[in-house]
Amino acid sequence: MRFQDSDTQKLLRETTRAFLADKFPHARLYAIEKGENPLTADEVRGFAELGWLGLTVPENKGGAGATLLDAAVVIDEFGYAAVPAPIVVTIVASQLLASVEAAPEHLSQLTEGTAIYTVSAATRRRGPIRYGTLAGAAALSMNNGTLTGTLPLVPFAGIATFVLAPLTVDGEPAFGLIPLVGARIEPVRVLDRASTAHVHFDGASANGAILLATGPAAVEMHELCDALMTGFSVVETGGLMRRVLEMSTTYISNRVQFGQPVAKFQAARHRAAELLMQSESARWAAYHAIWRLEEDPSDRREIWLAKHWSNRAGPRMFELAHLLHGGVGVGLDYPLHLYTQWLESAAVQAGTQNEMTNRIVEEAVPSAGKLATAAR
Amino acid sequence: MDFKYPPEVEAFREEFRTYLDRIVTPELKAAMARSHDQTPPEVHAFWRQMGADGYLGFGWPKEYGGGGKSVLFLHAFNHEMGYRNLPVPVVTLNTVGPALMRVGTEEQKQEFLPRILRAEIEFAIGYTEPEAGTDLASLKTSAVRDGDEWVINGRKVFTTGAHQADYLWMAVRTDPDAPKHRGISLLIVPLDSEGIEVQPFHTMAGHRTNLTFYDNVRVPASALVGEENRGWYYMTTQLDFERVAISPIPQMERIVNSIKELFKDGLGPDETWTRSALASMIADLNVLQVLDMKTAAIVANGDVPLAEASMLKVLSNEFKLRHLADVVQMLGEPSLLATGSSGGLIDEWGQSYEGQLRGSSVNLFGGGSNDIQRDLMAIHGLGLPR
Ligand SMILES: Cc1cc2nc3c(=O)[nH]c(=O)nc-3n(C[C@H](O)[C@H](O)[C@H](O)COP(=O)(O)OP(=O)(O)OC[C@H]3O[C@@H](n4cnc5c(N)ncnc54)[C@H](O)[C@@H]3O)c2cc1C
Repeated sequence: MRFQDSDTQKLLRETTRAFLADKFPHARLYAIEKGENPLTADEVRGFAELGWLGLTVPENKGGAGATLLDAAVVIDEFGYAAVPAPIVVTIVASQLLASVEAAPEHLSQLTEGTAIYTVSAATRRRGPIRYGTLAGAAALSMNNGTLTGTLPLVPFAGIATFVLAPLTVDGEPAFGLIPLVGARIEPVRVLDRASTAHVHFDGASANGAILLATGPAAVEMHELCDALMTGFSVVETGGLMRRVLEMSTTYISNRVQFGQPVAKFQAARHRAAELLMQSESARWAAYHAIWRLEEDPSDRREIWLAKHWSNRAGPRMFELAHLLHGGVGVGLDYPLHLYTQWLESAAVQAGTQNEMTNRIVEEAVPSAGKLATAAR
Repeated sequence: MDFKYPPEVEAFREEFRTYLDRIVTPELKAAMARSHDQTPPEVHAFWRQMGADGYLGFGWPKEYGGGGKSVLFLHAFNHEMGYRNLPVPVVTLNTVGPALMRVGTEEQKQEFLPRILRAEIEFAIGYTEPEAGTDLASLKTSAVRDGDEWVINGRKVFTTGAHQADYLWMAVRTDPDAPKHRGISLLIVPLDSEGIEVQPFHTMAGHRTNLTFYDNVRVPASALVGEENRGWYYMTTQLDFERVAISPIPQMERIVNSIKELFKDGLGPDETWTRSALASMIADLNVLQVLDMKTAAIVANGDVPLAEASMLKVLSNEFKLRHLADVVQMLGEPSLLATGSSGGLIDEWGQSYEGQLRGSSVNLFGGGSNDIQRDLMAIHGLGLPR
């Protein structure tokens, strides 16, 4: 046992950190936030050149054959740098594509960055959208060669070429790879300010769509998709948290009030210590959960546990960090808000507290009986 | 013990609700939902209307043209305004006006108070500086007497409203040699004076505030409020009707009511966490409402709610943030959408949940950091050694 990066991971972490710090300084992130200089498909292709996109794709399928934990290190660094990029969705998509034989050419396009892949993260099997007009939107379905329905809140739909999503085919569950070319992309503004859009298929041709799984296998693929999205999102959130901790401790060490650094006041030190407890526990729980999943792909229990913790820790860190930063921290030209607004968003995305509660309690107390689910 | 709210206050509340239903137009609501950078003309018109109808200086003494209403009426007034998210020119009405009544010269009272009540003029507050936030008394911006004028040099931060207000209510150092609390004075500075530069500072809360710079700004000697070097004392002693200021509690009630409305068709069987979180929210709110009444009652009975005010501030601001985080958790991803994005959730007063969540970051440290409030509770509430 070793709660430390391996040599490979250390190298991955250092290169990722250096690259992101260089290409995505805070000034660029403010511009992305304002919609002035959005992330481009070319930049995502640049990630492919660094080997990040096909990181976990097996070597015999053209990837780097790295472990899920290695990928987690890269994702952690994207969080640490608060770069809103399709890294989690790409790693998830690659895992799903690699789990079937149906679409080998897509795995190589993904690895090479010649096409960009995303995942319909908001259409969770156990977390239906219940409120507002999206709750009434028709789910994606394929009939007689055409696609209809809406995929709400798809990350990076604006630059992606394909989306992996659950759908129904002639009323049967399926999980498919869907081209975005014929879809209507409706950009929306989300709390975390990452590029997101509703994707509407108003009778688009299903040409180029591939059914990766149908029937019970599709349900299982959807479950795997949700588990991977949740697991890697918690890792990304852990990166955000570590940076919030660092920014806060640096800030109170330098900020002088009443003739001394704020860090000298016991109340403030205790706040900083709590930031440490929250972020360290969230972060290691996330890595541990990814390790478990890697050991046994059917063992997803710790993913739900880590997300439940993270969903509480994120908003708590928002509160502590803003308290410690005072007025400076809320400025749009100061980086803290990029992290804290993302923390609040992440606590709701990729698995809400309702979904985590149900999954955890069902597993821990099987005799309580399965709670009713409202699968789409 | 007697927890009954006086019937005349309840009657007033009813009357005021009817009044607001009448004068709050859809245009006003729409204007409020727009950008916060500039107070929209609809809001100014609304304030002038309220002024003309006698509601603006509702708690001010009659001798200054106010309504002379007691604290409990004012409490009801603030509640109804806050619930509807209606803006109140708080600093002008609750900080500047009362201080002028207490220590202003006859000339200043004549010049400013009637115009404040008619909502004709607005003040911005210039206290905070880059190095003087929580430790406000260490402020450095100086005012030096030169003949019949004060000459001001320095800089302020978070000077909210300075880009559109008429006057700045400004704390300056007038005696650099005195102990820090005893060398501060208050000045009224016209914001169109030469030598003032105002730069925008945009916040995640969606509001604009400002950085302001003062380079040999000259104002007449008569700009001084009260006695020279007594500014700190004026800044920290409050009149009763300032103590029942706008609180976040009515907004929190609105948030709870808005989600109850969304839940009216019933919760799904898998919304298990929601049940527990909702129960906590409602129980929190109940506690706040009781403490809020207690604080108002203390003031109404002529006492000073030192520890109670701090308690209320800490609890209400922390709960508000946690409630909003819980609300987006309950409502899921549509509640993360900003106003104007399709599929988003907006409450009946045009507020998005994500917008309210961003906005609540400011409450934690504004108006005296929550950790300082905890110190005050220890000192005033528990009598612990300083
Ligand atoms: C949107 C907005 C509008 C504002 N409008 C105005 C305005 O119109 N006019 C004006 O004058 N000011 C205004 N302010 C400034 C506001 O009053 C200050 O932000 C506030 O006083 C806190 O000061 P600070 O931001 O410098 O935080 P700091 O003083 O740096 O404090 C930051 C944190 O440090 C810690 N800390 C500091 N001292 C101690 C201690 N002794 N013990 C323990 N912990 C401590 C606390 O956690 C505190 O929250 C505004 C601020 C904002 C964000």
